[in-house]
Amino acid sequence: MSELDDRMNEAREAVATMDPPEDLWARVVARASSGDAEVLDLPMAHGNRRRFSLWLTVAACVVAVVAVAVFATADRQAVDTIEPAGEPSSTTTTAAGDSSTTLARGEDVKVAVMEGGSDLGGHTLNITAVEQDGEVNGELRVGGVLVTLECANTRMLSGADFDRRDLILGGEVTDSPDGLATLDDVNVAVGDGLALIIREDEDRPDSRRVTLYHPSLWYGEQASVHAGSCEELVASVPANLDDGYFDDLNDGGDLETAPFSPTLASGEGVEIVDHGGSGGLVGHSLNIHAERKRGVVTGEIRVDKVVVKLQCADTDTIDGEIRLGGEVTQDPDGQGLAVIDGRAAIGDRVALIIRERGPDYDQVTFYANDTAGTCTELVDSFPYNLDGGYFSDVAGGDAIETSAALYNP
Amino acid sequence: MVGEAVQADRVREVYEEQHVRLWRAVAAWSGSSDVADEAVAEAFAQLVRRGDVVEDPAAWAWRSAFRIAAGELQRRRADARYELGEVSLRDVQSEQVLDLMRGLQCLSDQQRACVVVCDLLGYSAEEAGPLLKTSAATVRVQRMRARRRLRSLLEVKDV
Repeated sequence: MSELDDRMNEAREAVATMDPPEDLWARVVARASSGDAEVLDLPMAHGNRRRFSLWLTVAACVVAVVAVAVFATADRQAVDTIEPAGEPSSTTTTAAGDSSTTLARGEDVKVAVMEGGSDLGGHTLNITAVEQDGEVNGELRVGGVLVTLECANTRMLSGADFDRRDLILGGEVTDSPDGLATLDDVNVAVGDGLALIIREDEDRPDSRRVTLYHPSLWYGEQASVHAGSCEELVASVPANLDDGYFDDLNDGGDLETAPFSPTLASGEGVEIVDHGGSGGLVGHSLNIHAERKRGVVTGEIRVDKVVVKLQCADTDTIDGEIRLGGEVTQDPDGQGLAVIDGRAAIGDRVALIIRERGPDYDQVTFYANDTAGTCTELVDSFPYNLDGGYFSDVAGGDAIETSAALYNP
Repeated sequence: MVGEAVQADRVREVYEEQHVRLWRAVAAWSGSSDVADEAVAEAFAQLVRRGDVVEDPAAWAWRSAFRIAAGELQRRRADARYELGEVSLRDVQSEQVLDLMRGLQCLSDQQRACVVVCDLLGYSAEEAGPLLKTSAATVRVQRMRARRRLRSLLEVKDV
């Protein structure tokens, strides 16, 4: 047992002797019944984000279970995630006319040594990652460890004063001359999956940060469940990683990466072929164009003649969903828009939820919540881990392109 | 009024089950018994006011109490009533323990929460994840990094 464990044990015993004041409940009651008390805005703590009483009741419905079973056998087509590079930064044309896109390239990029940082600090990275015809190829060398890159993904986060991207490069350790190598507290050996995550702010290329990702660090004994293939490896990277996991590159590192794309989702003539709780969508088609820049979401969704003007989005959900929120602005036929358990009319706030459960398992649904006061509250209030029976399936080849990592195994 | 009373009764059940552990967690996390008093009372009061829309009131109370405590700490620091690293815990006398608590204050909010909930309250990463609105994996990683930082801060070594 370490000295730190000893001190933790002592602290645990001390904490166990600490007790709240005896009148704490009386304070609760006094606050709750205070005439001028308000319900605080606690955006990180919406209880109805996880579940909604109405949903629970309906979720028990056998129809939903049947719908899931129907989905499982339905003919599905994928919602394709946008290619790791939204636009090519360094495109070369081969003799055959094929183009390749540099995802990341850098030689002898030094990871800064930071107090409290990871063991990656002080290492030198050599990266070449190129995408060609949908395939990712390249190498990552960290110290003596060589990773052959095979796949990539991106995750975007946008705020009032920043647009951030995590570029995730995944592959397999193919050379580790010293045998078991320790990288960022993870022992890796030849044959292991390993990913490098490069975090960048669009306007601050000198602030690039990196971290290494190995599923065992995150998922413990269940690691094998999350990383059977390279695609599963990069998809299993937890959403919205805290900056604290990353190490700075010296001066941002002399690293070339693909430019940013503001597109959140786009698609034309996206056909809905199956149904669940929002069965009214079946047979309709979607046109989607959504962008986010500096945290401001623009664009629209059209469901036949019904138009939803977009105002907000959430792309860092636990469920790996993209949620696009807005307001119904046009409905020339007065039919309304089918949402879960109802229909939305002009002026109503609605959210389109795009969920990708796997390469061939993609779903959408519209959601409304009368109690949500703002667009953000609406998308935030979407129930966590809602049964797939409330979603409809997407058909139509390369129907929707999205900028976020949707595949969440 | 009847509805409010019913809701208060429902919250009271959750309160009885959770409030001691929650209060200890927030106190250790914030380094302040007063902040814990304030945050836990407000979290449960908010729970009463919200009616029955909150389906998992225990998890909601945990997350909200930490959030309220964070706001309270910010306010106190802005008012110069509280300094970063300051620890003021009733019933804790041991200088060793207080040192550790001061060290905790140097961690990020999430790292501190993970250490407090897992190491000081005894929850597993799987149990702590929903309470802190994160995944068990994140709890494990945050804990690992927090402990590394604590070793450095407290100048202790692994045996």
